[in-house]
Amino acid sequence: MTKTTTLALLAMIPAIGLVLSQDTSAYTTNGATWAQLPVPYSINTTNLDLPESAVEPAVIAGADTWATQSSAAVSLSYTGSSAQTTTGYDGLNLVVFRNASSGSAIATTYYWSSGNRLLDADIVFWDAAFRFFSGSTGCSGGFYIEDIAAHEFGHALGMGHSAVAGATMYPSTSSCNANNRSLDADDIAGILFLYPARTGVPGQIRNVRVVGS
Amino acid sequence: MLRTLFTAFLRVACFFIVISSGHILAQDPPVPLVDRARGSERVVVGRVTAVNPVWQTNEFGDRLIVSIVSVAVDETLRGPAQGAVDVEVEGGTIGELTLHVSDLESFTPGDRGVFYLKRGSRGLLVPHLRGQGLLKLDRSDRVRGSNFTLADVRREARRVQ
Repeated sequence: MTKTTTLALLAMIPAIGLVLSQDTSAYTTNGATWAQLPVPYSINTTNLDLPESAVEPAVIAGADTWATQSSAAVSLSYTGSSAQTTTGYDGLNLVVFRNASSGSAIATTYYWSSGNRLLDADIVFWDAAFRFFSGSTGCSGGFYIEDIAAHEFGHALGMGHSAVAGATMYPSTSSCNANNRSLDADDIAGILFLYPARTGVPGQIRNVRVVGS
Repeated sequence: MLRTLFTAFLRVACFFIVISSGHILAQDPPVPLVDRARGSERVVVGRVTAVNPVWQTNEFGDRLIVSIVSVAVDETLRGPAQGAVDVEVEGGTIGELTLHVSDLESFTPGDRGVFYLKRGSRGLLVPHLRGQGLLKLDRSDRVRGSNFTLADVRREARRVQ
């Protein structure tokens, strides 16, 4: 290694320190949850990148991440496709692909609450700015719907962003990242905080009382 | 030799500023601070003095709560100097109903931040790059949830002048 290279590497140390000293706080929530489960949602599958038949299972897979990978008492229910293109506080939880861009956001979740109750949630994929793929192979310079949906449905369930790199709720992602569809321990802790574990989960026995005859 | 080292250091530091700046954002690829400044009509540092939420229908037909965030400007890093600016930010609370927007910070009076601004479709100032254009500062002038500081923001904004 040359002296110049060595010195250049030494010069990196303060910058690396900036990253290593990052805030280690984990998941965040605003404390609000859905009162009624499962949470119904519809998808407007019209988009610029994929056959509509490919969009539906990809979004559903992203949504199901939270119920299938944790013991949280939470569930989402797909109620069918919708032709609606607008979002708002209208009682319809909608996933829509919009032929528009929004800053540098890949997708945005608009969620409505009153007190500690979530009332409505809509997810917008910014389709004009980014190319979307489904599945787990073939992505190039874009994003898998499954991973983006997993993150956005986390918001729809009341999760905020996490400072844990690698968590599904980490605020940033990179193109073709297929890891967000797998919940991190931090994501699971967050969703369990909002929706404590279902009773009767295999391996859990609670409040057992043996009464003699 | 020193110049080479300094250049190498700057490159590495800029790389980490870009990487770490993704930290506070909605799920999106991070945009370097210098590029945020470059695309902005104004970049100001200031304190929120008032938040006035209103109902609005946007260009897509979405009926949303939008907050008009009034900012007393402490420092102008780009654009014309002005004592105060109003910034339109999606989200807010009207009555008991709150709209949360996943890629945007919400502000309350007293919050201090850096605002990268552009002119929105209604003529009002809006955050450039949405969430990446709104950086909340803590008491020690660190950007909340990130690894960089107001000094980093200033330095990167100056590169655009």
